[in-house]
Amino acid sequence: MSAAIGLGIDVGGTNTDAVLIDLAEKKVLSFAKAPTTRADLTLGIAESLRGLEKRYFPGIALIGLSTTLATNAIVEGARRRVLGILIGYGPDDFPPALREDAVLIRGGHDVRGEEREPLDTETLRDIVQKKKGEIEASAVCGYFSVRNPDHELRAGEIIRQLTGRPVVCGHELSLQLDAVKRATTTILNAHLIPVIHHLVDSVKKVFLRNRITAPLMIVRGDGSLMGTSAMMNRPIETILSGPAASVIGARYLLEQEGVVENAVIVDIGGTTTDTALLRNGAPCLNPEGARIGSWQTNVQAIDIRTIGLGGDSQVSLDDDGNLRVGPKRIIPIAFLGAEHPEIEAELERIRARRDHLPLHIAPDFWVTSGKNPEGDEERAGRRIRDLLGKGPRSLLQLSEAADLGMTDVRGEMARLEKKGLVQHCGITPTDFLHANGTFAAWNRETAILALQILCDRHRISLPALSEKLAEAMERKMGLQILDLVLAEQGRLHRDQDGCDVCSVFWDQCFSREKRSDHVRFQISLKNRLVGIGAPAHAFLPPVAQKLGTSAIVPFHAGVANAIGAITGAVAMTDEALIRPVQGQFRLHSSQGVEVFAGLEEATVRGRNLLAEVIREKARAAGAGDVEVTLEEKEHWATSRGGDSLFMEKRLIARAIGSPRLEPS
Amino acid sequence: MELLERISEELQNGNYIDVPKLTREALAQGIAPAVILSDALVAGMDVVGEKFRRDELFMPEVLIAAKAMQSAMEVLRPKLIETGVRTAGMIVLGTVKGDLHDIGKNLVGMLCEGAGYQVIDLGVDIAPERFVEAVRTHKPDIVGLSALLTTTMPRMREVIESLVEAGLRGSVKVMVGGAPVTEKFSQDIGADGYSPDATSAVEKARVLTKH
Repeated sequence: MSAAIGLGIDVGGTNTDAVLIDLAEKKVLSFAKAPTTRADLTLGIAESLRGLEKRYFPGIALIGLSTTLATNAIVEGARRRVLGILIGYGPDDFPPALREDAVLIRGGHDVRGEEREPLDTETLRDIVQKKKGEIEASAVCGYFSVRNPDHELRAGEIIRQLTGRPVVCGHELSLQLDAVKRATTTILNAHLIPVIHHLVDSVKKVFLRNRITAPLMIVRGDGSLMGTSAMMNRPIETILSGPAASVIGARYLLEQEGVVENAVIVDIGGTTTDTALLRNGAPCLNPEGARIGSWQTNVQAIDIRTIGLGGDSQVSLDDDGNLRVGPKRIIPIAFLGAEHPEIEAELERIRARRDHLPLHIAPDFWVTSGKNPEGDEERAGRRIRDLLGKGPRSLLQLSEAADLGMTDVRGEMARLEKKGLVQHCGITPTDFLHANGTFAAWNRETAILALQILCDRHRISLPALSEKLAEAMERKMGLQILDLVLAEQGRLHRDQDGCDVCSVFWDQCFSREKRSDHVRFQISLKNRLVGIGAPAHAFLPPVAQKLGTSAIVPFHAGVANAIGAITGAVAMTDEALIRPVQGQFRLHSSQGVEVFAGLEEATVRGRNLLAEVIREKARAAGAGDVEVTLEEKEHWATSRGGDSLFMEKRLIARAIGSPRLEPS
Repeated sequence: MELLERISEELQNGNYIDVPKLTREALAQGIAPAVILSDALVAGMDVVGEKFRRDELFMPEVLIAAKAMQSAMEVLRPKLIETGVRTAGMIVLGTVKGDLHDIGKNLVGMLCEGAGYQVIDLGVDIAPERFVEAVRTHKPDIVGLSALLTTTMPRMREVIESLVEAGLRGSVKVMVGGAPVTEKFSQDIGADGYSPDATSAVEKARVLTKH
């Protein structure tokens, strides 16, 4: 019998990574990378599959996919035709930007789950009848539906019958109070339903073409896996799917090395550095719910910090010699030089003329993005684009050819860049890594030349410049890590750059200019740093040293995200709440409200109900064998007079299981 | 500043006839309204509160002192507004649903007014929805909940949960108080502050509105 093989795919912002894993032996069999194709993600996925060893394909028993598709769709404001029914909401109870999707209907409950107003089914039917021809999916949110889902369930059923399209209720996506967050989450989710349907349909075709028929699962923002049929109704839960997969992948790789329950995971990519915490072997979740773009949702997702700092971040020096790195992402000179070796001559020319050029002229180039402008174009813009059509051009070349001052050219290039017509190339950390021999993927000569121009102009040696870059990068990463680990302890005062206490502290430890002569601080982080992403092994160890800990960069760290996409578990949670009201006990659950005379009676009913619901949920999410645990939290208060007062009992059911594999 | 001391003393005596008169006199002498407020009235009420806490004063005496304070405020308020003195903040107060006790709450209200807060008193037997409405309408800095019965304590949690559901919890601080309430209870139900008595309620309010 052949071993069960898992295929993990991470569709990231830059790359699509694929990996094959022997699920029983926990061994990476094969991996590949391809550029992500944003217009049609399946092209990049197909390309990544091409890089894998085909002989393993017949053994594939499960496919796991993580994707930023949902995140991107929301950020880019992709809008579908959806209907949001808000029951018992006031006009101020939902975000203005979603107003056009939403209709208010009378009904809703109060804090005790008692009906505040009967559900206005007549108006609901009228509205749905009118709109049913045009809507692709619907969202239903009732006021206090987490205390009593009755109106949501009834309204949902009516809409489903009339439209035949997917309908998702607020209480199905979140168990938390906050009607505004719930409406935001549920309506955004409805917008994503057609998007995920399309994605799943098209990737399945790619797999079929490769004769892979295993079940497909998708990574949720908390790192768990969910089968596509369940995922179709909850696409919003794929928010932060990619970063969550990275953390799960890191955990998997750490287990291979026999280490670590707690760690700080640092994922350094081309554009950004993401940090997250692994505690007791599970990613820490954001208690506020995931935030995406300007939207605050209550999706349970990994707590992650992101800064614009990566291998392809722009590095620049101001007139005073202060080095800045990030947040803008540009094309490294080494990469440009590999594609266009002719820029070497131009770099030589700039170097020769260095004393005749203004100080702020760095070795910058531009290339055309291949995109065509919309509408009319100004003459200067067209001339520049015509030039770039022949190949990359430096700032100096553009200025000469267009007969414009350098400042004017810069302004014009910024404008064209904003429109997505040109791409900026320049010095990045990747170029430093080429210059010092750490990386050798692209053109080292051009990287060195460009760096020498910068050094000459600012009268600084290359080692000194490298030192400056290292300091700047280590500071940014170190602060982000401190901010993350300290945030667990409670509220930190934060300004725009994050935790200001952390930055003072960091500078007291490491800044030659700013630290006090009278006291010496040092940092000793209890947990180790785990680096993933291509540049991690170069940048992370010095950060770890400053933080008083060590860094682990596991073998296969470069594809940790794809590994995480196939090595997660299926995990579901559900809750029931028992509250006392006038001598009786009310049990609130996803099934509605039931009243009991005794607490024990209510508890028994709650336990049975949850056990049934959670197994069904886990099975629907694609779990094979399920392990269910039930936690009971009873809360009694004591009055100042010494009276004991039963406040509530919370029943929390958790189901965890391995994904069902395709029978071989 | 003999006059200010006298106002303070008369206020402590609960002389609600003379305190407004003396306040007028102080204004006529050209003493700044803000100074009269802080150095005479608030100072006097602070002493009253302190004595009440030490059981040196009875509740009725405190209420009479508060009445004296209010009559003086009627004189002072227009002047304060003229001179543009900012209030310390706004507080919405109420006794929770099912509870008709109001003395403690009224006292907190008066002491908070004395400390320069604008106080909106919703009254007694107030349903969670009405607290939510008041927070939405008035946008106060603090909402203060009172409960005098063990059986109505859980109602405080219902108000807080209703604020959460309305998406307003982040925009307002919640203080709880009343005879049966404890610090632990306050924390358990997710309130921002608790005070065992009216005097410390003012101090707590000051802490919560300190920016």
